[in-house]
Amino acid sequence: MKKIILVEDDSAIRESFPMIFNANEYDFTILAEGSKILNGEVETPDLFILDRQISGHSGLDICRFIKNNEKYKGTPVIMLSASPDIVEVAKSAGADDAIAKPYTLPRVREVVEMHIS
Amino acid sequence: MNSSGGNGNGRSIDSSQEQVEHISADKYYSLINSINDGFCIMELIVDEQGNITNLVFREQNPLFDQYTGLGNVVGKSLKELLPHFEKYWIDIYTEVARTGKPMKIENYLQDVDRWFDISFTVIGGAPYKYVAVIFVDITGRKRLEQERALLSEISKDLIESDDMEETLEVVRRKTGEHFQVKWCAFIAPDEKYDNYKIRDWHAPDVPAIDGQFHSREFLSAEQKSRINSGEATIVNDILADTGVNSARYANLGIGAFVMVPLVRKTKWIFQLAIVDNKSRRWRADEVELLKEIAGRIWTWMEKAKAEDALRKNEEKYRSLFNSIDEGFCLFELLYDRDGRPVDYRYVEVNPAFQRQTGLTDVIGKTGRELKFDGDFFWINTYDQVYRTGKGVRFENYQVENKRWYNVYASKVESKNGHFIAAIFTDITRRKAVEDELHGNARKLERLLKLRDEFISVASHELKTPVTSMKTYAEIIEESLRNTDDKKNAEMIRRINAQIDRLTLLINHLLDNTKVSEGGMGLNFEELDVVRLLERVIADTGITATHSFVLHAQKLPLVMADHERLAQVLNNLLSNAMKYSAPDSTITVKSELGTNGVVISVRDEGLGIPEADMGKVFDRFFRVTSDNRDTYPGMGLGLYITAQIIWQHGGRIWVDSKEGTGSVFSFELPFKNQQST
Repeated sequence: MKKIILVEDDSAIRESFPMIFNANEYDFTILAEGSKILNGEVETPDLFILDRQISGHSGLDICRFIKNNEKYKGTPVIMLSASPDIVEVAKSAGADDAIAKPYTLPRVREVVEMHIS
Repeated sequence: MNSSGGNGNGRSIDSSQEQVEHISADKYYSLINSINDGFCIMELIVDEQGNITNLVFREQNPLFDQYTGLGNVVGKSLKELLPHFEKYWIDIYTEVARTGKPMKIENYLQDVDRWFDISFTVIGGAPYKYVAVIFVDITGRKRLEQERALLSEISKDLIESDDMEETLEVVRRKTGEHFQVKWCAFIAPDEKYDNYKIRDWHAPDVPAIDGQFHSREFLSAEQKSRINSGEATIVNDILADTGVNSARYANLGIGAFVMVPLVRKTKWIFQLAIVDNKSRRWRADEVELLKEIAGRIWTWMEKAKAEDALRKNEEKYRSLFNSIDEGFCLFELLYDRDGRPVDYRYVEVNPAFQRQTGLTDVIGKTGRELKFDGDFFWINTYDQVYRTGKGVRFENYQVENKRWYNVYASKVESKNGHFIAAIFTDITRRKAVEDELHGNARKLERLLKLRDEFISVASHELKTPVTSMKTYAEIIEESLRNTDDKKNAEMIRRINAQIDRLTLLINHLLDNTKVSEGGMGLNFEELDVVRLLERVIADTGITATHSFVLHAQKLPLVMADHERLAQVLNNLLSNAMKYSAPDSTITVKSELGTNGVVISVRDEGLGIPEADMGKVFDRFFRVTSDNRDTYPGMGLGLYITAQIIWQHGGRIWVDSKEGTGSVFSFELPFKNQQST
């Protein structure tokens, strides 16, 4: 089962996210903030999904950290954001893709499936 | 000299006494014959009452004949020679004979046109029988005197003149009378020298020659060239003169004339003429005198013109000075020994000065005396104006007076000091208003920025709950469809549609903020518009209540922002649906325009009232006519649509007929024409 780490500070979104997928399809680790990643305390997953605005650190900073970290840098990163310009910004931080909020279920599924290998 | 010579009058020389007399008589004759004066001895003929009745010439010298033109008159009586001789002369002899004292008169003898100083001296003892008369020619002196008198009189007239025409009339009269001519004329040409105008003085016994004359009739080529070279035209006898158009002048009764031109810069300004009705031999001194008079008239005319212009200027300046609302002051800059400007002194101020400054009685006072030494800006600025000679406009606050002034200061050229003229207005009130306006503008700017920031944050924050609402609703819908609960699934779909609308509104709010912040930041890429069109219509078509027709022509690629262009098409399609009846047709067309790719969306809806056509792309514009249902929306959709097209370098327009429908079209420039 593919492992996905989701960092999202809004609990409603956080909890809804795994429901988008079949229960036995992916193994979700859900974090409210990114310190565990920055401390290298999490196992390398198959995909990171990071919200742009989270308390503590900016999702973009975490993305940059991942992309510069030996342990994580091979893992694709998808950014989530309510900002319309997220696609550009995410690319500049090294993210592999971005999903603008609010999203549709087919869109989330499509992007996730595209990047998880 | 022998005895038989001379002008003997029956003298007998027969005694030594007589001989002595003879010698002295010889001396005497030699004297009187050689002197440069006329001389004669008159015997007085008296009646029984002792009254002089006649005079007989007893002696004369050669000059006497020359002066009087009477020939040899010895032995002849005055009555015989001049039957109508004036009583005036008898009176003189009577007086001389009565008193025995010499007498002297000045007299003009017309026949020889000369002035004489004539002295009468009795010879021998009383009762006096002989009178010696000596004629001294004083013509030259007399003429000079008269000329001087005339010139000084004319000069006086000119100086005291306050009316040019009137003065010239007086000058003409005096000149005419002096020369004893029939006319004295002032001749002035018109601008083209085609005609000239004559103003004359004339003797009472001749008609005027006033009026306008054609140059070509009166001025012969010779006379013209003489005039233009500043030479006088002198005609002694009009009928004998071939240099002028004699017949013309003769027709006017003219017999002789002298015309003196006044020439400046190769053009004659006027001519002064003395004219007689019969021939006359003009003397050189007369011509010279006329020239002198013409010269004086010219000098005076120039001066009068200059004075007149000056007076008019002065009046204009004065009335402006007194009537303007701006304060005006003339002041002198004062420098210290090292040439540093230290103070200024008021020389002149206008009435508005007091109104503008509240200061009275400043003339002659210095800035320091008025306690205006606080701010060296003023003095330094004026010094700069003086040194550069360039006028300066500035606004400055005067601390002492607590007023703002707008000042224009300029240098006044003068040899007598460093003068500056300043014209100024009190702008204290305007300044206050300006400050307030600036403050308000800044406040407004801050508020607008705050508003945009607020909208940006708010719409961002709104999206978070909307995201989870949408996710849960979609999950529920999917699950209901899986269990085939169509009724509940449809209700959830509607919730979802409303969430989408809410999302669109939030996006519009965000986009609007972006536009006011200066642009949406487009990502240009090569794009096939027709493919995008097909996709958008397909997506819309899933839920649509209308039928779509696409007329697509194969088009070249354009450079465009994929997402934004999709947004444009979505907006136009949803507008078309919003404003037209369900089941009506929406026609989308793509074609080649002259400058790019043209996409149009046609609906069969309500159309747009003509008055609103120009406003549909305005921010927050919404159609609000009474006979229409109210349509939801914030009035941002078409505004943002237009902003996106414009940012692509394209254009957007609408054709519409109320009740028939609308066509919204936009054109995107071809790839190579685009500047991104």
